[in-house]
Amino acid sequence: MDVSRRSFLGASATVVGGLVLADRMRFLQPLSSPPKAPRVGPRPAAATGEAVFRTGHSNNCDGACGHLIHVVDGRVTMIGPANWDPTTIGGAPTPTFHPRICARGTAQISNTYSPDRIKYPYKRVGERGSGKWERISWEEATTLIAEKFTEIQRKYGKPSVWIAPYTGSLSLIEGVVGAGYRFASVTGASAGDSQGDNEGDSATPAGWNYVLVDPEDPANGGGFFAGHEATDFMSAKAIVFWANNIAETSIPDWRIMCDARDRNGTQLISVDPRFTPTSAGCDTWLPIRPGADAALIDGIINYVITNKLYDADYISKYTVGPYLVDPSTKKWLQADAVISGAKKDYVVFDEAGGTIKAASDPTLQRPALFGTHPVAGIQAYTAMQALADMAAKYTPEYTEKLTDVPAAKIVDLAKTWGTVKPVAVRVGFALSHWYHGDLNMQALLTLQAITGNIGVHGGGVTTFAGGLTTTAFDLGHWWNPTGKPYTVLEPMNFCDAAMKNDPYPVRAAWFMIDNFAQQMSDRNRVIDAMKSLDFCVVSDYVLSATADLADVVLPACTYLEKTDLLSSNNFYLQYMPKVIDPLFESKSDLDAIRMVAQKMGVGQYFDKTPDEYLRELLHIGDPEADPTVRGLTWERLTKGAVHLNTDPTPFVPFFDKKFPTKSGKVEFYVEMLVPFRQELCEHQEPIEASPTNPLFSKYPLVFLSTHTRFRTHSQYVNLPWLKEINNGGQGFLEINPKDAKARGIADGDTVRVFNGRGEMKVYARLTEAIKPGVTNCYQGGWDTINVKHYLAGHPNNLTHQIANPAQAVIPNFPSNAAYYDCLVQVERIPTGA
Amino acid sequence: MDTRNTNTPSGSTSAPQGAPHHVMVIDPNRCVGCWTCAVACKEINNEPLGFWWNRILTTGPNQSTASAPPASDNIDVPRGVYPDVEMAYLPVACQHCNDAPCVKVCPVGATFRRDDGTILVDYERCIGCRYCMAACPYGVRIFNWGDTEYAPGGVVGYGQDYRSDGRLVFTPERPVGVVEKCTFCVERIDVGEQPFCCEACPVGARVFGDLNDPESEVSQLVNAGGAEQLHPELGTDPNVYYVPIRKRPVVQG
Amino acid sequence: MTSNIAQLATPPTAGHHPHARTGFWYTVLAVVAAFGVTAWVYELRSGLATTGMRDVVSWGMYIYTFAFFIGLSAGGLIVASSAEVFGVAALKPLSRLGVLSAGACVAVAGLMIIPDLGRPARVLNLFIHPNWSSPLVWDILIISAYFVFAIADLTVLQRRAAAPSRWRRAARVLAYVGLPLAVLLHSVTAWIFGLQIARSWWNTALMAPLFVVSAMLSGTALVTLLALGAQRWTSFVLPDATRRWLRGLIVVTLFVDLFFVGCEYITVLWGNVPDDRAVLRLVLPGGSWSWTFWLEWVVGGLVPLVLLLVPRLRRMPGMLGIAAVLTLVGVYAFRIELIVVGFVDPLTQYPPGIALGASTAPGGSFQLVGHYAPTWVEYGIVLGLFAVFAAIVTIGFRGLHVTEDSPANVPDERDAEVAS
Ligand SMILES: Nc1nc2c(c(=O)[nH]1)N[C@H]1C(S)=C(S)[C@@H](COP(=O)(O)OP(=O)(O)OC[C@H]3O[C@@H](n4cnc5c(=O)[nH]c(N)nc54)[C@H](O)[C@@H]3O)O[C@H]1N2
Ligand SMILES: Nc1nc2c(c(=O)[nH]1)N[C@H]1C(S)=C(S)[C@@H](COP(=O)(O)OP(=O)(O)OC[C@H]3O[C@@H](n4cnc5c(=O)[nH]c(N)nc54)[C@H](O)[C@@H]3O)O[C@H]1N2
Ligand code: SF4
Ligand code: SF4
Ligand code: SF4
Ligand code: SF4
Ligand code: SF4
Ligand SMILES: [Mo]
Repeated sequence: MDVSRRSFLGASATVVGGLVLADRMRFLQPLSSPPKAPRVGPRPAAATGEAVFRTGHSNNCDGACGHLIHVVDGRVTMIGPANWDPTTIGGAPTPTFHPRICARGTAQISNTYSPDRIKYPYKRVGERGSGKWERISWEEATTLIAEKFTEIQRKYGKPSVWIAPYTGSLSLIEGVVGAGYRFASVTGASAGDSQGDNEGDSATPAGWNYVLVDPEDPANGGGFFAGHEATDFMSAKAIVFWANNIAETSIPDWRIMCDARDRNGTQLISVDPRFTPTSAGCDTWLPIRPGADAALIDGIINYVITNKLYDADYISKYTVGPYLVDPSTKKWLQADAVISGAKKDYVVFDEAGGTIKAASDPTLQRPALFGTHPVAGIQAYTAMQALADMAAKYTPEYTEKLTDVPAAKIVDLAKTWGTVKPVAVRVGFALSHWYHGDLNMQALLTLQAITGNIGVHGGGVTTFAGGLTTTAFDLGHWWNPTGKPYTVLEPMNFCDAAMKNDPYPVRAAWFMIDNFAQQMSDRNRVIDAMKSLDFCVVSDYVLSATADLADVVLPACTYLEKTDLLSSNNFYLQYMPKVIDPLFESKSDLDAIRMVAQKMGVGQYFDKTPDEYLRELLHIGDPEADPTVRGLTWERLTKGAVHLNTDPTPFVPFFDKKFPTKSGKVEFYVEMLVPFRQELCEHQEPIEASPTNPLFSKYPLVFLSTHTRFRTHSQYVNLPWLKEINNGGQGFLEINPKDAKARGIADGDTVRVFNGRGEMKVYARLTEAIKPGVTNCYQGGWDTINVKHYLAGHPNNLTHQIANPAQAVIPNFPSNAAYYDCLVQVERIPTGA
Repeated sequence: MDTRNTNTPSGSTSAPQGAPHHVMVIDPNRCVGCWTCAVACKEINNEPLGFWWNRILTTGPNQSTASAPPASDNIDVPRGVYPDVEMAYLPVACQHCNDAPCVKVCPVGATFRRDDGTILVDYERCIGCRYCMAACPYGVRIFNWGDTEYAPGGVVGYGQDYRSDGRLVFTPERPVGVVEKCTFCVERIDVGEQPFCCEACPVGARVFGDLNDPESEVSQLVNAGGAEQLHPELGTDPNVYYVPIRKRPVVQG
Repeated sequence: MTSNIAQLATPPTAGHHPHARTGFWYTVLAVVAAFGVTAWVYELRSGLATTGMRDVVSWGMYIYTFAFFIGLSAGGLIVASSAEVFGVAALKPLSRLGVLSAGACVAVAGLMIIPDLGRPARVLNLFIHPNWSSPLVWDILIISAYFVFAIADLTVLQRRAAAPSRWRRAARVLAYVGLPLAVLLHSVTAWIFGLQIARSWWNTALMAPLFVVSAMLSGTALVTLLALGAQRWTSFVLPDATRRWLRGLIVVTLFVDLFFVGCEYITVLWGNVPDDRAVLRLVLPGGSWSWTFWLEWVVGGLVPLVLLLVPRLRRMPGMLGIAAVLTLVGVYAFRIELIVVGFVDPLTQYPPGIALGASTAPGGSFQLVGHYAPTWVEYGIVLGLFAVFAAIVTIGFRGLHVTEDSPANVPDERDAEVAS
């Protein structure tokens, strides 16, 4: 059974819970600015009958904010930021964590009361996708779904019903790790992987696992993912935002970065082909050719090694750097094969005696970091030497050619990396949106390993600050109450399953909390696949592009209308009480699932209330509960936002330097990737968006489709408050004036963006904020029957579904859509055309 | 001592004897133009569509005094030529000028200055002449033209009338035909709360407090930190200050 | 109904004019005024959203027409007073006509503000809670004073016509008061704009002199037109000397007016302050408001100057009237340019711009550079007030027997003017 990304600290029962604290001094408190993080509270002179609730904002954003909701007469009247408990469950003080919210958060009133809400269940009457509906009752709808699912399962096999993966909400019962998987499991249906990212967030986690986790160890559950707690960035001396637009995609965390800068003089560096709000707030911006990140990292590695700026002590102690590699197989040299009497072990060269020794040999004095050493007739080299050799060609000049970053700037960055300590990296999932996203992550971890920045306060490579703290939750049992896991069908495989019965037929699907028809790449193919289904159910609170293609649409609740729990991207448990009654005939997804399950004869698995499930999942009152939640009472859970039992300092993965890899060390030399020639993080050109691609002559522009602060993916697209501040709600293509001029495009012109897979039409926005040769169109705008955010189409009409097979070595993080690894051409549409 | 999350409203605790002098200090070095303060303002004040008492301008660094023409009609577009670009965000609401042109021109005294420096509009007295809009150098006043539309329908936010010195200075749905603007969240600051935009700003870029209190953070930012006013050359002497923008980023050559 | 009014208002001396024509004239005025009233009622019910104004350009046609009428009100009084103060006998025939026009203009200007108010019912607040630092309060005061003065002056002039010796002194005193009052009225009105630091386009010391001179220009042009009209349609006779004076006044004030405006341009162009330059660029040829430039400098500037100065042209019949009309067009364009363009380019002008206070605008909820075009409501109300003006003047003309001011049996020298 897989568990992952946002979902798992995996083995981190030991990691989080058993964190030992040596270096507590290192951690610095965030600057509280304003000085006394004033406790936010209900507004003064509250209107009569006003009730105030605390909840978590669970909707697919890494902010994971706490909201304070004011309700008057059953209607939400105000949303503001909420407090965090100052202590852990166990009562230890926690680092300052400010109340947080963003524009989207405050706009949630207008989301809940939006005229776009789906009010009732509907049945399709016209052709699929024609937008003709007939209102039906919940009884009718769920009966129809149960009958269809049962019939299709009988005809085509149980897994032919697919419960799509979902990230639209990150809550526990219904969201990213929610009840849909339980439903799949008890009905025998297939489902997307439980990490829930249909879409773009598993490549970098895969790279993280290559280096830091042994996926074959059952304790690691097939791979997991963790990051430094947001407050830990206070301890960094330099923070590199690598392909991370944190100031838009995790806005409240930017405060901590500013605190670090203002209080500790921490340097902020942005590596991004676009000059984003993040770049504008950094001390240094390094525009890079997108997709060339590994080359830049290799360039830094080369500089660090040749100038001996690495942390030799750390490398010897905590990484596989000194271990010898067999040049013929590229695999680790085995001690039992080359040293008589030795047990199974790694082999090192002891500089003290000039001899080969097993890594755990107690007589070992000074293992050589570098060098090629004759062992049993072969010239074995250390992993570090392999790295040095690989990186050698990435001189500043060569790296400049590949990355477009000037050599001098590469040297500057490398010097920073080699001399400033600790350096923290915040990596955006943007890197994951590349075919070689795994490699980019692997490269960053390699660099961090040789500079001694892993498992230390203020270091590391963090994508998801924290990770969904699900060791606390009894997820295995939650998903598989019968002990029989569901069949996993990855989103990348859905189209083939639906249209080619590969690997088996999928004839029906239930999309909930997922706008698959718009958010998945190669959208034209996705729509064909969806249209080929026999039966399609969509649960959503708005009529999404996916809902447009449904046979039955179920009206869902927003986060304010149902009970759940949020525990994402930080280490707090945020109880989400039902704040108002569901509007119209909307029902929570749990209720919808329950009604269908009852009619399919598995109602007994859904017969509890959310509160009952939460007590169960968190083992409240159980003295054997996971140490992170041990001692939690129901009262405490529901009263505020309580921090898990971690060490009082911010969480740092592998702070004890015990790495759950085969070697127990940081494996920047990844043996299991030898078949993919990726044992080292040598740069590889993107699968599509590279000048080396013959397609480049036809489609010479890299096409990014990034995330904007004015919406969360496809959510809130049509909310007037947000539309007003976001170009009047009109999508646009960012293009450099140079590229525009070459195409006769002026600011505001209508352009066609196209490649072999499809096209979209959109207004052009000329901006010097983007590297020439690169374009960007914020993803997620609606392309539904009713609302066209772009003039026509969506960025995903252009993206592809080419899977990276290397990632298969990490079961929980199979390949995702490489959205940004995409080439297009842009042309002006003459006015009147 | 652990000072965080303690229930101490900011304005009231450290206020010295005598009337407070309320100021707001905004740090553009932190501001990332997320518009949270603007939407929060819209929410608490139930501002109709098209009304933005608070808005976030895209400028170049150090634009508080210089006045080069904007780089583009659109937000988020930097000045300069790739890769030598620069950009900063400037949140602008009413500056609560001590020598407020709007107060000077208002023919009926509907716009007035309170002793704490807050500039307010008496919605019951305003005749809707809009002279104050012509006079305000910062473009922060909004007139209720009469075609107002709310989203969501229904009143949100503070939700009730608020009077200062008996004058109606906040009402959930401002009357048609009068002018309105940022009130410094008078209904909140009068009970020692932060203005809502300050509370909501996710990056801590907005600080509110008493300039008469030398210990207050705003005093420090203004006195030691050299926080500047917008268009100081106009002599309006605003009570909103901006921390000087440090030149950034180090652009690559 | 209209014919009743017409009959009532038709003075006996107009007996030789056909009633039908007068009736038609009043009917037209009544219809236009009724249209204005309708538009105003509509505006009252639906708010100022019915106008083309929004938060960037928050003053429009009402205010520039207000300023225009204030300007018009000057000329009459200045002409009338000059006759007394400077003893220009040639201007005497215009005494009552001038004061009548001044009174009518200032009344209409005062009325013009009402539809511009968001809360017209609260207009009394101006008197209950006046804020003495506001130029608008001073302006209201001086407008009222000016109106009262015009009535008083008219009354005196009327009495003087009946009993010249008894009222001559009073008329003289009033004339001495009238001149500075007119100058003050225009200065205070100018300061409504000129004192505003927020609008560099307005914020110039030249604003008051500019207003005064353009007021004299437009006022003289208006009186000229009224006199020509009176001559055309009534027994009023415009003596040659008077015409020459009028022509001279127009030429001189037009020169000065253009000179002042030119000074403004030069100052901005030489100074190269970006904000000021940006505004001027809107007005100069090529800018989006350059039509006001052309109207002001060519149609209302060069052309009338040529018409009035080139001997061959100025002798042609009707030239004075044409020139007066063009001058008025030019001055109106100048008012538009001054007021609207002052708003178009706000001082604090960074993207996304200023919130419009309306969600219905086509380009979104913000404007970086203001747009403004009056709606039918504004045209309706303004036209209605033009009709009111025309009605006051017509009725007043008849009621006051203005024709009496013109010397009888003056030989018609229209075509035999001597160039001097
Ligand atoms: N406001 C908002 N916040 C969100 C979301 C949202 O939709 N809206 N979504 C949430 C989710 S699910 C995710 S996955 C995260 C994503 O969070 P991020 O990864 O921070 O966001 P992206 O917009 O994908 O990309 C960040 C930056 O990477 C740059 N970039 C793209 N390609 C490359 C490259 O090859 N190299 C380098 N160096 N830079 C590159 C882009 O120009 C972009 O500015 O955001 C989360 N937060
Ligand atoms: N071109 C391009 N495409 C991308 C990306 C990109 O960068 N570029 N990013 C990718 C990434 S990183 C991600 S994570 C995905 C996200 O893709 P999705 O998960 O599809 O995105 P969302 O729009 O957040 O949410 C999906 C739907 O869930 C609904 N929803 C929200 N809450 C609930 C609920 O409680 N119940 C129900 N039933 N429905 C609910 C929303 O209304 C929305 O329609 O997009 C991916 N797609
Ligand atoms: S959208 Fe994200 S950043 Fe904004 S309030 Fe919600 S969780 Fe926080
Ligand atoms: S910013 Fe404008 S509205 Fe606010 S006090 Fe100053 S002049 Fe008045
Ligand atoms: S619009 Fe109202 S507040 Fe503004 S000047 Fe006129 S009366 Fe005063
Ligand atoms: S102080 Fe209050 S009214 Fe003023 S901008 Fe902030 S939230 Fe809006
Ligand atoms: S909320 Fe804070 S960071 Fe966001 S725009 Fe406002 S001041 Fe800037
Ligand atoms: Mo994502």
